[in-house]
Amino acid sequence: MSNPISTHNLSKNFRRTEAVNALNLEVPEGSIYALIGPNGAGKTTTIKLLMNILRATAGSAEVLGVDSRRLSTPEFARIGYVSENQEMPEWMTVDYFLSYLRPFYPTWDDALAEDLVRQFELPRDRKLRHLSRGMRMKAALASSLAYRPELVVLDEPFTGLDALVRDEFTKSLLERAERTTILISSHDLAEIESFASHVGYIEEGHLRFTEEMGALADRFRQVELTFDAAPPLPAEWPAAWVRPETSAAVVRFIDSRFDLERTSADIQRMFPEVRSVAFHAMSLREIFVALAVAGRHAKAA
Amino acid sequence: MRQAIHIFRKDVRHCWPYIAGVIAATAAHAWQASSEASNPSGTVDMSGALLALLMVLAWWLAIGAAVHGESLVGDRQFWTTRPYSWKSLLAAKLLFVAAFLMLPLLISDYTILRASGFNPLGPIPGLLWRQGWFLAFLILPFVAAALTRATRELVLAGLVFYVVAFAVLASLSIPTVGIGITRLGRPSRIWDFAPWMMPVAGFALIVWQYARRRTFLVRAFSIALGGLAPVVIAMSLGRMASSVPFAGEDDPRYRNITVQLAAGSGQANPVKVDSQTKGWVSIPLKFSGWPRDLANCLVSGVDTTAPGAAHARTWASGVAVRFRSSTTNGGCESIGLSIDDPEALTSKNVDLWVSIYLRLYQRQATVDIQPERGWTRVPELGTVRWLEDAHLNGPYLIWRTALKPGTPGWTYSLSDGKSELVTDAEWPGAGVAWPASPAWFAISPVYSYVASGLTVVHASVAHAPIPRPLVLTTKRLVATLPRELKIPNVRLTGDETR
Repeated sequence: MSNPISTHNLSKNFRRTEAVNALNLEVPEGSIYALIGPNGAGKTTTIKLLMNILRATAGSAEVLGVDSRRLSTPEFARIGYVSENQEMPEWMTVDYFLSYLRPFYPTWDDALAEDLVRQFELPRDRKLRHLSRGMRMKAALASSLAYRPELVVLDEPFTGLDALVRDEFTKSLLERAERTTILISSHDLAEIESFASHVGYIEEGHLRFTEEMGALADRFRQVELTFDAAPPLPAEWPAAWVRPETSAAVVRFIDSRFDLERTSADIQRMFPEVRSVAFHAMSLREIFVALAVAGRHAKAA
Repeated sequence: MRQAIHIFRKDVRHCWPYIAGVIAATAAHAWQASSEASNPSGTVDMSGALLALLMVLAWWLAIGAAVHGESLVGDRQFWTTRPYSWKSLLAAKLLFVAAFLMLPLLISDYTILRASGFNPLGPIPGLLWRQGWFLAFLILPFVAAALTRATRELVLAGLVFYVVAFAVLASLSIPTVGIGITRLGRPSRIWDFAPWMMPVAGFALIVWQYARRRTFLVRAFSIALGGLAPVVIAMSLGRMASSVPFAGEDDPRYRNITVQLAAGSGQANPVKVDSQTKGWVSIPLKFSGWPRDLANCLVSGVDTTAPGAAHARTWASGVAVRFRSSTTNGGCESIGLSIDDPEALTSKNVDLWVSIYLRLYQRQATVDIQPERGWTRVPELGTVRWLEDAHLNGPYLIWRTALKPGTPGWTYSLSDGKSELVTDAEWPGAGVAWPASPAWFAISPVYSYVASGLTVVHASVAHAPIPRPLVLTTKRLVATLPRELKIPNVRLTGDETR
């Protein structure tokens, strides 16, 4: 079976601005795919293209096996979409919002909806416009999980939420969306790191890399070289070593293609006088920051 | 359909203040119009105009509220990623319009028609046509709502459209009917359908926007269509006004009607110039081939041509020439010309062309009017009421037509049994040939006309008791014919000249 989400050279221009550029993305079935990238990288635009909210300038995308431009009632009944800046029917109460949406979904599960409302501690009789940001997001999530969608798409769901709400949100998502494919874009890398199975890094509309979370964690290492005296930096620097820093007799960099044997050999070749070498595992946030800064430097150069 | 009804129920719950506003404004309008029908004053009622304005505003706001419930503009609406069917969504909005805008107006129409003396269930096709026109009228706010996000944008769009449309219509020159000329018949079938072009195109844009949500493109087309609307309206009105003036020319019954100069009693030249008024010329005419069933004729236009100039038939020479017709049963007997600038024509002998625009009428119906009974139905015209206690100085007639304006081509006479109080007054007055639709659209289903024979009524019966019943006779225009007469070598000076 094909992947729930698959794009082919997907591009979107806003006049002369390239928001998304020839994006080739594959989200495997059952994965929790985190789409990360700096502000303005094109994450939200990509998701809106996938959801047929925006129309692509070029390329194409398939969502649940259907051309995204042809997504309609049957597909949306299998998709749960929550966005930080979605306009909700503010005049509806939580209860009415859920009961209004119920007939749209053949697979709506009343017990699950009830459970979600209780778990999120949503005030049933309060209008959506009177809910806090966190509560609104929870209401949106509850309304998007109650029909057990095959695909959940979350666009910056954690923005503006406090830590407690984020935890509750994530916990419910994982509990209620087993066997569901989840695509999530977020800045909250620490949160995502705890549950994402795959990650894609998008920058200036380009997908810089996409891979499994474990592989990514294995691939990135912060390398710390200690010398007896400050060493001269080599004229040629491997492209995979980013963000080099020197501090007295210590050289640090990030190896974006870490392989213990190869990296050790390269270090010995380039720094024969090195006294000690330390490899540190990196968090997703550290990787993200490193890539973002490296990208900025490359652009400035 | 189930989803459409589900969305409709949500809209009812959400838009109830707007629904209440529409129903209140419509009820107030029905009450006001019914009251006015029961006790007509013949004067312009400002409260009626204000209520009409309120109704239009209520319609705009209600449609805006319903459509904006699932806004079609933008990329953040919750519903766009829910399993909505665009057909169900559009159907829900149309259902809303039918239930809370069209149905109240239909009930209001029933009430007003009944109060105005019409059988409200009689003109059912007309009522349905009127609903169709009303829906067409609502296409504009519907399009505007489908292309805006909020009420203030919608109201702004409406204001801009009306101001621009008014400005364009005001700046366009719409041809008008010549003085005294009634256009019989319609210019072309296409003008029956022309008024529908805009709403049909507007509805197509609505469908496109609901199906594809291509706001930018649909806005561009809507602006183009909006700009075109006043032009099409102006062209339609112009076409109506300048419609083909003749009908019945080929009818064998009228083909033999001829006109010639009636020979005076032994005079060589029967064309006479009044020595006192100087400018008045009397031309005795004699008609032949007159069908027996014709009631009478009216001569409605004359042209004179300067010597040597090309002759043009305009029948609108009201500035240079005034005309007076003498009508009696059986036809036209003479015609008089009043020349404004006689000096131009009196210095030498001239050729005089008389182009005659003949209107032939047949008697249709005779009805008794009993003022104390209120409205009297007049076949094919509408209802009429005789009023004596109005603010105007004396009694007068007020006419009403149902569902569409009165179509020109009628005259009526009013008699008290002894003498005529009104003689061959045009009904409903000067106007245009409307498209052949069974209904037209205005806020009220009833159109009122104060009798054009008012001055005659005043002169005859002001402040005098009128014998009852009054007898009203209607005559229908059956043909309009051109006839021409050349009177060569006339010298328009002196009491009698040739």
